[in-house]
Amino acid sequence: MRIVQILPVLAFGDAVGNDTRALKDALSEAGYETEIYAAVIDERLPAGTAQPYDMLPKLEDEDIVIYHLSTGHELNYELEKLGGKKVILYHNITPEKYFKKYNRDAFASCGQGIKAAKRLAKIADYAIADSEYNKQDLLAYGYRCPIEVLPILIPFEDYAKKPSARVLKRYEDDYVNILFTGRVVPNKKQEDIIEAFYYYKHYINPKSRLILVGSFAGIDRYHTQLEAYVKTLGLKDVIFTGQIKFDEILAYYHLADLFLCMSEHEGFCVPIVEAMYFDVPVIARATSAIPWTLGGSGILLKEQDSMAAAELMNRVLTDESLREKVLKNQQIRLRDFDNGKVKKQFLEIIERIILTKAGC
Amino acid sequence: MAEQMEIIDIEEIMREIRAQIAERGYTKNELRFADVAVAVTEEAGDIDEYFELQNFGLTVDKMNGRRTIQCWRMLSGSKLAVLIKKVIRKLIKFYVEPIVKEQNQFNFYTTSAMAQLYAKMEEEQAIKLDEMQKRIDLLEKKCKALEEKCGE
Repeated sequence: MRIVQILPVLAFGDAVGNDTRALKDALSEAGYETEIYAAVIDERLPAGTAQPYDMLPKLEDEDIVIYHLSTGHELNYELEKLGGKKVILYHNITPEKYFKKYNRDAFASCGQGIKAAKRLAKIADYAIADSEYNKQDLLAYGYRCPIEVLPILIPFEDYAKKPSARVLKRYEDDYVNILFTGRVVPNKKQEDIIEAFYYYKHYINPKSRLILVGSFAGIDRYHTQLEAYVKTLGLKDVIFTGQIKFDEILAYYHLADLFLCMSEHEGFCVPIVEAMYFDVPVIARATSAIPWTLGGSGILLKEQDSMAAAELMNRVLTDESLREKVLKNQQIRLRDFDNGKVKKQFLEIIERIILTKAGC
Repeated sequence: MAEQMEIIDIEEIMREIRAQIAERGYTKNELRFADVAVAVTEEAGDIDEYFELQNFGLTVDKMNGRRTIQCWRMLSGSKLAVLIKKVIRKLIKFYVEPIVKEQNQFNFYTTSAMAQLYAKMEEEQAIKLDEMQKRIDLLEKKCKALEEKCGE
């Protein structure tokens, strides 16, 4: 029996890619014969991390195919042609409406992805969702097979690496650093973070800095509009880092005094968990998977009110007792994402899948 | 026993925050992010590198809407700056106007050609769709006949 993972693009450093590789390691350690197959493999990945999809051998009934579904791709339609038990690992697909104004390719891809997700409901023998929110999406798409919730496997050991000394030196001053990490894409609503920061900087604390860590490749129009927004507001100390090296990302987390997330749509939001790891208090908008990922920790912002967000930021930064409570709660929630714990859950799910009959 | 989270009364905090907002005397930011979109020019955006008929039609419409370039436009700035700009505009008018006229002629012909091309492609697509529908109808008829025959 083989367990193969298939995905359209195995990227270097993104949540889906990291999760896929971590799951492969977990399966290998447990003694399963396993491999990753992808249509596109990032050349920055070590040799042997994955094989091209074309090399996928013929799969038998007892084999298990774990298909990572997170985007539109022609590979979404290949799954039904394969043998073995079909397991959809759903990372969520951003609703296409967010890309309509900015990138027609992404718009079409997301639309196709959601159509494919609904189509795959008919052939899925099992499903795994990164969050309760993702599970509800699958149910809405018509999935009737067993669906289990399994958090993304996060490589916490990597976060203990040395942060960039250059970045630390540059920004280690008496400024308050507000951080958000994530691709610069419309569903993450960086404009709302900027507006909240505008109020915070102008009315509460001029000695503050907003750092937006994340690539803006592919959605340049949105990034251009954000830069224009910052300029028109006359706002200083807003940094768009673009795609940066891992040690630089670590440095920004070390520098951060607060993590502010105003996303409208997230399937899990790994950066929130990263902020928890680095003991950075999190304020996040209560949308999509965010409340589940925070799991009662952090502070959820239920209102779409940038002034309230600014005041809340100030409250968390200046009220020591509140800050301590937030950090304590975050550390408690962080334990649920412990690598060992999630790996154990995953392997238990695999055992249940093995017992499942194909064609449910 | 699993450690319990500390209870944070967020509703109470938000009530206090609303009071603080009133005290601080914020001036609401009138600039909406969506309004900034108007300032983002299309030439800064990405050019579509694939073909899709409906999108082609929309692009042709946009070409038509923008094909005429105006020579004259409002001048802005201080009184002195506007005066200087007016003088410069008058001085170079003899040179700029013929160039703009030629550009407008070129724009007319290129937009015309694109509009004709789009109309032709629409027509061809309509014919293809019609043929495909006829073929589908014929095949459905044959399928039904075969099903009835097998049913016998």
